[in-house]
Amino acid sequence: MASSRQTGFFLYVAYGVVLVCMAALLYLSFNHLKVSRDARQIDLEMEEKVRAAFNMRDAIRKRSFILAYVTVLDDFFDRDLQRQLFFEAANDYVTARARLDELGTSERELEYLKRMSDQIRQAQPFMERAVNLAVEGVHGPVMEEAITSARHSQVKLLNSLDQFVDHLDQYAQDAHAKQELYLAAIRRNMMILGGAMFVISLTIGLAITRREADIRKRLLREVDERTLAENQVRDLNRTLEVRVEERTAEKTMLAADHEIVAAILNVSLAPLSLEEFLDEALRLVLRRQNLELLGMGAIFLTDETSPQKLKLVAQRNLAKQLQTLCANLDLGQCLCGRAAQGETIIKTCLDHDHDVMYEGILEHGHMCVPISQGGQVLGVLNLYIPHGHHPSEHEQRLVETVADTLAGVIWRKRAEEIARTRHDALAHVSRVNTMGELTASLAHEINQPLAAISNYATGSIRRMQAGSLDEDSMLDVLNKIATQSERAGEVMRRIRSFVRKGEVLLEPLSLAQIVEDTLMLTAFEAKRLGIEIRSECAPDVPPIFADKVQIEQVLLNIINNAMDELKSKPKDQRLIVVTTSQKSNGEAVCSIWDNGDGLPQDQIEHVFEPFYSTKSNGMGMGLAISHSIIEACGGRLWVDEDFSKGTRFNFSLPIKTEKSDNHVKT
Amino acid sequence: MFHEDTTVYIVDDDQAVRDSLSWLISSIGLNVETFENAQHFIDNYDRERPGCLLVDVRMPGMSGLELQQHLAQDNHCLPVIIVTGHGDVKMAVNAMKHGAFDFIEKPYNDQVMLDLLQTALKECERRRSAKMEHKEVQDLYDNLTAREREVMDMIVAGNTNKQIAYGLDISEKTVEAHRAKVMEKLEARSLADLIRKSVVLNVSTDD
Repeated sequence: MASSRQTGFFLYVAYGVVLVCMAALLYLSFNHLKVSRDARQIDLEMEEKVRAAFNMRDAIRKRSFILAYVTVLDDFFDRDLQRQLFFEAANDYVTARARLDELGTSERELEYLKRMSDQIRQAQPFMERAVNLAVEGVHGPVMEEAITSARHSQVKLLNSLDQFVDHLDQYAQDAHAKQELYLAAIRRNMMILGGAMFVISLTIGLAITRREADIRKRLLREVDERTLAENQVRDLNRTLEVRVEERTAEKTMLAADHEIVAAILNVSLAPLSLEEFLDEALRLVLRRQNLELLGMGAIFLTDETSPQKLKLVAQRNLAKQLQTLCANLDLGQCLCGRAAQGETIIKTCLDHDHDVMYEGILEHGHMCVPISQGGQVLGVLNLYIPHGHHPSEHEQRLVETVADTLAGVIWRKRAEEIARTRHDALAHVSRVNTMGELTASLAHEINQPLAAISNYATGSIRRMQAGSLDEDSMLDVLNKIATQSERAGEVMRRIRSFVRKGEVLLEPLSLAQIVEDTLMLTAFEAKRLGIEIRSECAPDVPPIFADKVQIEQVLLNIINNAMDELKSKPKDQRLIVVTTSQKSNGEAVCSIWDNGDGLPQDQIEHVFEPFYSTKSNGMGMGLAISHSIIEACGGRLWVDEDFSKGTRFNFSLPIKTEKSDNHVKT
Repeated sequence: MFHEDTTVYIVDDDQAVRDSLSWLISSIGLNVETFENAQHFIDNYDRERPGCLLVDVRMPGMSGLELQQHLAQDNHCLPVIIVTGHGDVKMAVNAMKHGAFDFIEKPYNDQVMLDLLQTALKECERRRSAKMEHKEVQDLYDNLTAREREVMDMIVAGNTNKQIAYGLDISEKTVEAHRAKVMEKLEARSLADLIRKSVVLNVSTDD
């Protein structure tokens, strides 16, 4: 910046100098013009003067001629004419002289003119006399003398004139020379000035050029910088775009990933068996667009009974040979067996790890991902990938996510299976409960044939007593009695099969777990009736020793009774509290309290008796059965007598002890 | 002992029960008619014949209880015995409240059952004679004039002739004349007889 300001200052000075030079040049050229014009003026003036001088000399010569020829040519010319000419010549001279005066004369010229005038004046008498003599025709010596004198003066005059002309010429020449010199000086000055200007202009030009170059350079630099910045911005934008694209792609991918997981979870909700579900899930996975797959795959599950075995449970487009060869695999056998040991196996081609081979196997790669839940391998998801394809990190992650999802569903399906088995067991309990509701109709069923038998019998007796019974009628009635007896037997058999019970297993159980499981079963009904059921389980109760299903029956029975009891209470005041605790005598106790109206004292002593019921549709068996169950397990079932608010049933069970014989027949 | 038309009607959906009951009841010489459902009975039984109805409380379609209530609304004098099973006692009590004659719980003793039937048939006869007497008295009562009915009401209410005369703003002699007319028209032999007849009238109208 500083240098450019200096350059700027210098340029201003340079421009100033150039301006001055130009002014000087203008002045000089103006002078030059003026001098040239003056020179031309002098030339013109001199020409006029010279012309006038020549006119004067012509006039003199004419007179001289006249004089010369005055004597010779007297016959020839009229003398008057000669005189006239002579005077005319004199007039010409005077005119020329006047012209000279007009033109103005320098002193020197005036000197010449005065001398010439003097000479003319001196010559005039001789001339006039000669002319007069000639006109008079005088010849002779006088004449000759007159002419000679006249000629003589004439010659003198002519000389003077020549001198004058020479002088004029000389003057003109001098003036020219002088002006030439001046002009030359001016021209020289002009040239010097021009040169100076040229130099300065050149310098300015150079300076400007340099400055412009600087500016241009700076501009270029700025442009370069801008371009650079723009390029950077563009690069940044491109990077951003790429990243946005990547992110979008990633998101799309994630959305697609999410979709597959959602689809699998959705299918898991359908009422399908585990195998059906896995088959469907495999179909969904193989249909994926963002996985490079061969459309073939299989799902293995570890055998629950022998954990060292893998069982093929679902497959898609698997070669026939493989369906047989891989139906059962050992842990560590082939790729799937290795994956079952807990690590994802990825192969881009068939290699020596691929233990299971057959004639005509096609080249392919594999992704074998373990399906595991909480560190426990549940199975293996095996997908075929194109030969030489290296699955991307995303593909691996997606397949692993799918495997995890499958693991969750498998776990859940298995839990559901267990729950269903348990539910079947509990269905037995509810059948017993339902019996209470069915008692009335069952009694009716039994009563009908009994009543008929009784009627037939007593009717017959009466007839026999009256002696009015013939044999045929008797036979007929006895047949009818037999039929009705069979009918009663059939009803009894039906009831027996309805309440049949199997063997029970005494095992160590968590009382809190039983409470939790049972409350899960009653949750729906409780919610429907607006009953709040709280459980307060002491955390450190040791395991009890009982049959799980039976204890659940007991608990369910008591809670169901409590819920029935609470139906008479307003909906927002229905409460059941289930507590478990450990007694000091080494028993675990479970108490079920409801805030119903409570049991009257006279009912308390009967509640555990069979066929005692306060419910119109009850059989009166629930608590009796519960009582015997608890006693069979070595515990006690009782109801608190001094409980003023609501009802509290309790049962105690022995804490787990080492018993070898834990099978009890009921 | 009973009218020869006297019939025990049995309504039970169980064929064996119907048949055996019929066998038992006919053993003491009673007429028995069986119906397999309530509607069948309503549509077919003879209203003019005396008898009683033995009906099972639990039946598909119209239950024994409903049949009994239907008959009560119909102003019928047929006594209804409800046959119940275990746990149906509440229902039987309910039926009794609505006018059933009695109930019997299965399984029943044959003698108890037959005795109950006899009682029911007697009740039927009583109802029928009461109904008949009511009809007779009603016919006589219909012949009374409005003034005579007024006088009769006041006599039955225990008023003396003087009180009636004052109450109806007529002379005692006129009351006496009306009174004699009432006694004559209702064929009452005494004041007690008149009151009994008025009770028959009132009971019946209440029925």
